[in-house]
Amino acid sequence: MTAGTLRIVQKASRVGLEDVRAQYTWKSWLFGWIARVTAQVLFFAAMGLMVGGPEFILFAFVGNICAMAALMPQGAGPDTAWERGLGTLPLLVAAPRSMLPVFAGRCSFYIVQGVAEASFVFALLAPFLGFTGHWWWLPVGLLALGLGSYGLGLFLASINIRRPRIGNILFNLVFYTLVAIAGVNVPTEVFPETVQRVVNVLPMHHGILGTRSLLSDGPSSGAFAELGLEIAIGLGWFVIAMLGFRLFSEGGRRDGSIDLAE
Amino acid sequence: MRAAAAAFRMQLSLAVRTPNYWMVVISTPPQVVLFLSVVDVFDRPDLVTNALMAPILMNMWSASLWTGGAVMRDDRWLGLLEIHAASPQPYGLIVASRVAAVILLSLLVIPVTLLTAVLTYGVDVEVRNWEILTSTLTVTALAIVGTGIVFSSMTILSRAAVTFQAAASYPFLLLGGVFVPLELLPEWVRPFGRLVFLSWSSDLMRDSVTELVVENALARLAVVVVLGLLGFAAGLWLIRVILDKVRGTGEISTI
Repeated sequence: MTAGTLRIVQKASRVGLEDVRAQYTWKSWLFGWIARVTAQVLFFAAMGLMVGGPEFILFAFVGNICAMAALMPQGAGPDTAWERGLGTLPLLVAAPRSMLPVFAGRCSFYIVQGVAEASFVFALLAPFLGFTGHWWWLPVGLLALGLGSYGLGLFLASINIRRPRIGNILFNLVFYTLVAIAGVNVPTEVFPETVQRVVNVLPMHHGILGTRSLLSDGPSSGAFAELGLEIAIGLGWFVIAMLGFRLFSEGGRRDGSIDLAE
Repeated sequence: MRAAAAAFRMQLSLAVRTPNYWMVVISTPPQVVLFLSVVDVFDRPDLVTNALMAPILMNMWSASLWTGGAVMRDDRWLGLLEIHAASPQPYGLIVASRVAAVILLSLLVIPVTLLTAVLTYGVDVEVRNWEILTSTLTVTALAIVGTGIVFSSMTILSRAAVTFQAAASYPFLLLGGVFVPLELLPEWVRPFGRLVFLSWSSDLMRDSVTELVVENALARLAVVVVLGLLGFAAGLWLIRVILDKVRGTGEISTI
């Protein structure tokens, strides 16, 4: 990778950061967004008041904190597709450099945001829910989850950019499906083998397993292997996403449909 | 009333063609699997009703919040907010009619929930009290429309308010006892939960499925109606006051 490419990735991620900053004031972030996600984590952890008891409360708590770190990077699709709404896409395609580094960096700040927000909500709730464990390892697990999910988020973005109207629907469907089956609230083993096989090649499942292991038993080769697998899966989706973007831009350049399709 | 009916029809035809308005219907099947898997893992078939009611109420409530905010945001982008502010028709009523159209569509989450439950976990639910269930669903849908516009009203005040409006989703669902009934939450939370119409609706919906005779059904239905009307009145008032304020300061287009 050349220095020029890295510079583009860095500039693109700066655009993403400024987008996030424009979206929130500190009040709307704290009392709006953080209040919402805190209530969301509590909503699912509260299931333990009805079934499973304190053990399940903590299981769902950790699972939903992990899901929070995956939420933002997986939602990269709709934001990336803004390039079409803003009319900047034809310029990116016409530019002499590849537009792939732009897309690679555009929403990368979401990884940092996801790790920071999930850690913050964890710190807010953990004392009240009676969490005891190696909490200081949490950001490591969350970072792997963020990286894994960013790859899938970019893959969804590569579909979004062709079909901007279905961006939100696609993201919601994929994210909620993963929350249901990837081990957030119940272990994946309770689902049929086919479901487990699908979950194996998607992010979140291995990241959650690794994070749970780090939190309960501290560092181990097993935990790091799971987190490594999470990042590798993310990388796989990242490569597929880049291919998708490339096909989109080349196809669009050839037939002039870059800003016209759908 | 004619304006409200026109807004309702317009939104219905718009929503049918716009993928984003189908979001809650699409998100329903994974949520049904989520709740049913929890009930299944802990071998609690008695909680299947909770697992089915939760995604229905969650998605209808989020449809209302999302639509209210989206209607106002789009009106702002299209430069229609100024026209609504100048119009003698109350804008709150127009927004509520448009939200009502989307809530009507969102009732589709009910068959989608039941179908998902049958196809995934082979769930077979027998409803003991259809009259109470359908009446509760009807007044709940209306209360969802009425209360939803309270939170959308803030969208007029600030562009950042969409975030505040989203903040009403899970706190309401938690206090509304949509999966875990309010009586299982800590004691100090319960009085707050009783102020949320969803807590009455969810209890009543579950009881109507599982019990032959539902105690105090009419009184409980009346509470949902009263809380829903209070929310609606508060929403209409808030939208009027906020529109008056930005009209006075001349900030309607610049916020």
